[in-house]
Amino acid sequence: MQNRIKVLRAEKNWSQQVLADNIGVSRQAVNAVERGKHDPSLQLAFDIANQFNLRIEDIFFPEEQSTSEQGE
Amino acid sequence: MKRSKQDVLFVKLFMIAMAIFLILIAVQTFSLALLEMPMWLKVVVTLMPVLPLIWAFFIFRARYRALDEYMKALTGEAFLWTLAMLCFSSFIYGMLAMKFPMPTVELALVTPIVFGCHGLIVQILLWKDNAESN
Repeated sequence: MQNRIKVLRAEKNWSQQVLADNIGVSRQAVNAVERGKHDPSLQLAFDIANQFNLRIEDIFFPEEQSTSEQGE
Repeated sequence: MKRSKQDVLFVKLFMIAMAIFLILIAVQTFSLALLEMPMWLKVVVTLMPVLPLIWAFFIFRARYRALDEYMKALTGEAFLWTLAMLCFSSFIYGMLAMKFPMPTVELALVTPIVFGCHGLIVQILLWKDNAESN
């Protein structure tokens, strides 16, 4: 699963640690989700989305969708 | 790296358990060597160091339950690797021991090796997740 967390973090000038502290997980967890190494639970996805005042589908999208969007 | 209060508490309690373990090992060694005791007391004194290890297990369990979902998954995978290595190595040893004379293995070393291997594997998995995407 792909996501826009890195871009959104950069817009807010947040480090991974700041986001991790805000949502109550480890920095490693944010890093793994951001890099697509770990698919977050629904609760964690909601927590991340809330931090950016966005919907889950505005942040996370399946591999195929991200590939097709890149091709457009 | 920033450490949460939970991390600090975990490390403190774990280190206390390990310190008690070492003290009890010393007590066990010296009392068995220097004191005359009935058999039941010798057994009790010999097994005393197990108690802080059991306490350490419960400290680790509490710590595991407080981990976030990613670290829980990673810790679980590290245990899977540790279990696989332990099972395969003991099985290989057993198979060889059935056919060839083998050196004896100190079973008391299994627990500290499992503790150590698990910690090391968690760090390797974390490093791998970071390195693969860099």
